[in-house]
Amino acid sequence: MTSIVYYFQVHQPYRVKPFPYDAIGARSDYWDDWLNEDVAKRVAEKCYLPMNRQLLRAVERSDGAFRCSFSVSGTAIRQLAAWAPEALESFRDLAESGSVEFMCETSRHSLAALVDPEEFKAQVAEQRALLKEHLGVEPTAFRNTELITDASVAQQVKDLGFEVLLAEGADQLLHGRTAQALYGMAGAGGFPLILRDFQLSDDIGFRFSNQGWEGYPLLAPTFNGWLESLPDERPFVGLFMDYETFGEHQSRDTGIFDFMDTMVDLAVASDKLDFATPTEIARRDPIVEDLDYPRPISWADEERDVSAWLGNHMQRAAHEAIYKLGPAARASGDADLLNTWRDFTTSDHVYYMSTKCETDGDVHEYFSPYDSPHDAYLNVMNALEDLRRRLGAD
Amino acid sequence: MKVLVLGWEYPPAVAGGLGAACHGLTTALADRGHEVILCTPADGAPADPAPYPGIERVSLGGDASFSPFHPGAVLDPYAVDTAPGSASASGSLVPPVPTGAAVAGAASVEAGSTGLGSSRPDSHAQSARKLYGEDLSTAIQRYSREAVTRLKGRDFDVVHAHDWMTFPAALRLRFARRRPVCLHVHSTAIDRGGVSAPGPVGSISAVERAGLRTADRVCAVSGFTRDLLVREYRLDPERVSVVHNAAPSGVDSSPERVVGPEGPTVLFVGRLTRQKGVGFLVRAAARVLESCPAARFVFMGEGEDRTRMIEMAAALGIGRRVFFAGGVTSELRDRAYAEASVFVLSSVSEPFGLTPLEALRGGAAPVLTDACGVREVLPAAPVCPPWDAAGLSAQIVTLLTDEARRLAVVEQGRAELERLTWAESARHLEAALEMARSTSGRRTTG
Repeated sequence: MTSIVYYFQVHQPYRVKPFPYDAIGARSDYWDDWLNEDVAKRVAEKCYLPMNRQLLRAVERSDGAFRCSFSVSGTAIRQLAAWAPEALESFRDLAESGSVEFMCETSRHSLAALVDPEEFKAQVAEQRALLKEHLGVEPTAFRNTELITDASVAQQVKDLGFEVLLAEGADQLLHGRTAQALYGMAGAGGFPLILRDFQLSDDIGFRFSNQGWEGYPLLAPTFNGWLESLPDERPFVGLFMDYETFGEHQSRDTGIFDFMDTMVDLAVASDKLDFATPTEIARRDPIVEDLDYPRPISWADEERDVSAWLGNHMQRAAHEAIYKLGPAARASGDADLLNTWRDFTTSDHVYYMSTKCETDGDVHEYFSPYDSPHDAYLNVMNALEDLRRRLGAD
Repeated sequence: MKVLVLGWEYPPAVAGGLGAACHGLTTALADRGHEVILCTPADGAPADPAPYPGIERVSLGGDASFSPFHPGAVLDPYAVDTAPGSASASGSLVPPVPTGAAVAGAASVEAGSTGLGSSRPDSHAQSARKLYGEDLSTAIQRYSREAVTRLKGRDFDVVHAHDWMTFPAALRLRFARRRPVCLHVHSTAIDRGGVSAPGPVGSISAVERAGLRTADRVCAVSGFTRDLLVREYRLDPERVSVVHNAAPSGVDSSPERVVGPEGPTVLFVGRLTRQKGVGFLVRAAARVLESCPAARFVFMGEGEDRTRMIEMAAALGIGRRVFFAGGVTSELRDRAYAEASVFVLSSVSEPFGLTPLEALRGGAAPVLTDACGVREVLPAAPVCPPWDAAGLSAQIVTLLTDEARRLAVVEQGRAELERLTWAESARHLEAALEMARSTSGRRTTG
């Protein structure tokens, strides 16, 4: 029996509005609320609401046998609370079904775990409070921003009392070993890691609607056939993807909703497959081996490292400029300023500054509201300069 | 004198630069009592140019039935590349970028200005696109042909032609009408990209060279440009008069600077290109910030080096102190002049350079390279060689840390501004035109 571990990532950043040089010191409205509201409402309409409804029906239909997990970033929770409360309500319905696990992450979908442990702790506490308030849950599993993981991240997560961490099953980590088993983190006391099977995850998340792909069109019986044909000793398979895959990245007319519905029903009926959540796996399965992380590994781009966010000079300069304001923001005693600064820690801001080309560049461009990475950089740097002055920081 | 002025841009379609110089000189000639016939291209001229006493306007090249390669074109020896769009493909004469700032920049190389500063950027951009767009070589041929046909019954004593676009027309008139010509050089293809560049740059350079060697008299916008013409085009220095540009009009702002928590500002205004030495200023900025960590560097302007400069500032670790404001309105630019403590003209080859004069009006102290013409009229301004980032940073640091010295530089510069008027320039131009008349016919080349 192989357990399918679904994890869906829900995230929306607060995108920065055009902030030209002459706006510095003249106005302090950084967020493009028209755009943010527009995107939040559109995604709620096209993805969150219909897919949540579908998953809830699957839970009910299967009497709780269908199980899955989510992580909803704090910035997404706040946007939905403001602009699409019915979508947030439908997440709460899923949480109350008892079959859906909600994991924790940083409240701002930030890179704080890499550079600012104090801020990381604060954002985890904030996220716990948001999950409690809006979804009524107390998380036991953790996923760091974009699955960025190394021993230091795992140790921080462990110290905060979580039971398991989700991570990418990258080739450079596994060297041919399977991702379909529970590993431990070397250097963090063997803290449990559930890895993503990037092949099978990306079949749904990226390739499903790609007409140039040899597996196109992917039908549920085919996909479940692949899962059923996994060797018996594989305890689980991690299918991790952006939740916006359903209805947003891949539109409804690609058949992605029907695929998922059928896939779930076939798996529930199968005697070789079942579903489990991350915490259930961590409590159920033994750790087969500890893994050594040579460097932080993420689920992004071909490199599976942090180069999607910190790959070029602009990204590193902006990243540095953001975290440099942290001490002043936390010491300011001004809740608004601190909140504003924290929203700049959202990793998307530096992601938009990536200058990678080819396949990954397309992905970056798809998500970016800017004309070019250089515009993204200048915009954020201008806004940060304004914030720096308001904070009276160096 | 009856002067036939061949202009390409008038009144300025693009702030700073060629149009401003043509406008300033031509009106000042009229003010001095000369009769002026001013020819400008039919395309790109503003719909309703304001009349000026003593100046009669003629627009040339409006006959669209003319096709290039006309068998009767006498212009051929000087023709620029006639392949469609080739003149704009050089990347240095007319950047193929459809923005007002970039196209404008091509026209205003000599002024060290930017094509920022237009109060109505859209209409200016359109105008600049018409003047320096894809059809430039066709437009030049039309203009040159009609210079002869349309002016048939008109009399004049001397031809005064501004920059290479009008040189073919001037030479045709010299041949057809036996009138002396004085060619006025505001910038050269060499400043913009060097003669070694293949293709159109080379042929524009050829137009300049052939025209200047044939002309009866040459005016250069600076001694720097005169030296370049002598060196690169082998002109006899005796045949070249220097006619400096005037200072821009405007009200002087206070030179006093109250530096707030945002730190003192070092300003650059111009196209972000290699010619403007932007990379060298960015490297100097990194050195300045070592001793003046509160300073901020503001770059106003666009250009093909923009992305590279942004990345360079980030790579040098000074991204937080370097701001790229892009193309800005003249209002914003003037405000920047009035806020900046120091203004830097970092060009590696600048025929004149108007921006330091604008900066002085705003109360900013200029630092110049020794490869610009404007230093000839600002003898008190600190100077360093182009590419010398260490020297440039030292000059900037001195001005940022020694307020008395900074104020003295501004004060001395402003005293010079008073002397820089178009009336004064026109006096020198008049002498050059007289020399063109007196030497006419007595020399052939060189």
